[in-house]
Amino acid sequence: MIALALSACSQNTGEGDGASDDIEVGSLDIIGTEADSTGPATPVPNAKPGGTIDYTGLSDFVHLDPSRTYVGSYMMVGNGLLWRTLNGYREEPGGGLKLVGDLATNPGLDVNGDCKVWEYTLKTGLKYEDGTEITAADVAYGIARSFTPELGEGAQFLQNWLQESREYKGPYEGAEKVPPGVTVNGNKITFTFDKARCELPFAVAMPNTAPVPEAKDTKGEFDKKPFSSGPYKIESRTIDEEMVLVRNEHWDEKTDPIRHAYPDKFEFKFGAEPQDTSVRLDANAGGDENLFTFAQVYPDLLPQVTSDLGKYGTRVVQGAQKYNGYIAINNNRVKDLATRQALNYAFPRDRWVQLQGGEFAAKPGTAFMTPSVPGFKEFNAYPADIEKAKELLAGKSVKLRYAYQNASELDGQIASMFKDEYAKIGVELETVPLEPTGWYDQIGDPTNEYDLYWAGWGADWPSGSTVIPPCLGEDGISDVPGASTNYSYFTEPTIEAEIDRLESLPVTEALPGWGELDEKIMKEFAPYIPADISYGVWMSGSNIGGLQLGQNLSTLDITKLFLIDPALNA
Amino acid sequence: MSGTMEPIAEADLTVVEEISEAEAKKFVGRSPGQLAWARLKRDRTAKATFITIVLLMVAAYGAPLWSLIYGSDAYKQNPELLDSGAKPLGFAGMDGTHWLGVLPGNGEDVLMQLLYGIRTSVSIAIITAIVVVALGAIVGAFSAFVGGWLDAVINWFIDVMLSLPFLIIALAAVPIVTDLLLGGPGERPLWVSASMIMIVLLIFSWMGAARLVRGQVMSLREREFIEAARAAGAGPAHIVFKQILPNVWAPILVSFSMTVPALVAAEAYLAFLGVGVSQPHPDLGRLVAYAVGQMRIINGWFLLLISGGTIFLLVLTFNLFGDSVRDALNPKSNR
Repeated sequence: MIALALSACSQNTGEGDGASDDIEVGSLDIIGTEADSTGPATPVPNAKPGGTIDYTGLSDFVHLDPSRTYVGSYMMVGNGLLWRTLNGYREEPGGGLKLVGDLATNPGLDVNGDCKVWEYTLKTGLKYEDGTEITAADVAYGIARSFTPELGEGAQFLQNWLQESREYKGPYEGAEKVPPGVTVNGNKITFTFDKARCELPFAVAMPNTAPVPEAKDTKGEFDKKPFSSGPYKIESRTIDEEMVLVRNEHWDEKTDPIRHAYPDKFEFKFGAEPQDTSVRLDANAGGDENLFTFAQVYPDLLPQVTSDLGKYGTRVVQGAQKYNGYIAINNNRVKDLATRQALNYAFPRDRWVQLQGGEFAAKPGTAFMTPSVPGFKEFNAYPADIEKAKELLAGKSVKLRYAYQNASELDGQIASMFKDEYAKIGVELETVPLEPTGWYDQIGDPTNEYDLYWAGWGADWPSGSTVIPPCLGEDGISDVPGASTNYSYFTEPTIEAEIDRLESLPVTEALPGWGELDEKIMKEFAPYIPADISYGVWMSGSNIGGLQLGQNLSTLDITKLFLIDPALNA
Repeated sequence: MSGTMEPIAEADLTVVEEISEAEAKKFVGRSPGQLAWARLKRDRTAKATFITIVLLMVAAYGAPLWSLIYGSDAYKQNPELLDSGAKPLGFAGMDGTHWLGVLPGNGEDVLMQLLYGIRTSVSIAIITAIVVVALGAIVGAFSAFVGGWLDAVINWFIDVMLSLPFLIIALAAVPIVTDLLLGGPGERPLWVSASMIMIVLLIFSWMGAARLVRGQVMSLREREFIEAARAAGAGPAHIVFKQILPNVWAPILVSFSMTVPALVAAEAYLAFLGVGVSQPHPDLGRLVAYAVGQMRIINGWFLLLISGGTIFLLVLTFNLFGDSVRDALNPKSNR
């Protein structure tokens, strides 16, 4: 309370340590080699083994069955601690990311050089938590499980590529144990497609290529206690209350290029409000030094933390996430290019960032792709210019409808801000508050009656192919209400042709092409208004070392954490 | 004593004794209204609260004028007074032109938010209270006068209404009814939000007045003067409007004065929960909700103090004034 009173009395001078300006840009050299795929992982400086790391969070990890896991923090816990996948992302201490073979010896062999047949060879010495060996057949069985509709909450890229018709419904009830398009031969697993699938190495880094031995498959129950192939195993778990992970003695770091296993134990506790968690971490009281959480520093606390970053030292990390925020222009309704361009020229990006909570919550964004995606191209096609916007409108009276999710006072303030700012170029904005629940269902309906609305997107894997086609291409438009992801409902034949061309290229050649395409779409069609790049600040207790933002999942990298003093609170 | 048969006249005797000797000497006949007024004038609480109410009303309803003099209205956004995270600079953004500072977010002037907020709040409360009491009185009087099975049905209906959970229904109904009222997606002008709230409040507030008036009318309709009127050949309309209603104006007035503060609080309550007056129109309840979300910074504390304090002041003064009115009209009630 005293600290609160003191800070409360201080004047807000508007000064403070700025957020870091250099956003880490994804490297084009993303596909690793056989050498990169060899363990052990590069050690984290000063890391020591031992001790127990505590976690506190609002809710339990709802899905820990690899075929059902698709949320950032669940994937972080699953991929980082509980299971291994064919491929994975090797993130170096201090930054740098490569796609490498995790269970496989390399990120994938394109057998005929046409991206249609991919071969993976498993490493030797890979073991489950009971010491039995991980086989290629188990990987195939894991993929087969993810075809089961009831277990299909995870990513479905690989599954849809293997069988477009999706007639195969999983390995149960006497069905084939190996999914269509997959062949297993000893320690080799081969994927065969009818079309070029050059991004397969990324697709098999999703959780549902984790191995599951048929004998240990408990179907629906597997979600509660997955059979571990990673460095830790579940010792005990009470859903929605707590989960204790202990070392998997059979995991061998020499086979693993990605993971570390510094602490002896992880103790997860659930049910804490995010605001309370932030206050608790900030206080860093005795007993809480070993605590961490995936939740970002709560907005209320953020000004206090960011105005005095020096005080927290290495227990605070900050960085840009892979998510963008943009204002979709409904191209089904706003068909005039000049109007869309004028909206872009007049977009109050500074005030938008200010209202998001400042540069520690959002960085101004002027492209669709975000910097962490390799091939990102920085451009600003429509720098703020009120006069140009007026010129483009040429005195036309434009009336548009801005819809927003009415979840907090802030949302209404943003609406009022837009109304005020767009009035300056003669655009009359009608602001429509909507129920926050089911937001994406409402704007994901091509017949929606709104002209402008917020949306956000993050790449599934580090390539523009999971950004541009679903958000600015035909792929993202569906007649099923709520199923569209191209919220601007923008399609152009020339752009579709370019998408098709890029998708058939080898990954490394295609990557820069997506950034170029991003700029071309904006310059020629202005189908949306880029607004920001999500930015976050995370805090942990003072005894946690190795705090680093995982670039691929945009949250704290759990495998790098260690205890500075393993004996503290032991 | 005037020769009236009105029930309130019975109370006059006690009052007459209280009146000073000087006044007692030049004894003049006075109507119950005049007596009540005399009592009200001698009540210091009534005086103080009345002055406060008048000041608040002048401040609130003169807001457009004050904003001209003051140089800022409730809608003007001042992003230049905020830091990069949209929090006010300095001490809650206070300076010579913004006496109570500015709001985090868009930097609207807090003092003007309060004045316009009071105006919205009090207008909604008073208009609703008038309709509530009128509707309650008509239903109550009708029910009591007609009696029989109709009275039973109305009573039963009142019981049903009283047992409905106000908040749950309000939270569920407001968004739906607003959509119906607008007939499609569109902006919500102030009058739509306001009438929505008034309708919701009305639906859940008329029962008290109805019961009160029903009880009064029940006791009155057996009195001799009514029988006399009946005997003289008066019709039901004449009896209700000319004989009975003039005799229940006191409880109706008391009911009104108690309903206003209750509605001010209820309106703030709805806005606090997000179903009240919507952006960009200022509202006291929404200010409180906004302040509660920012308690880690000074703006939150300060904003909560002044917005919550304003609601408190409004409810308290209206309530105390209502108490005084009740005492003046019915001195036999507990003091």
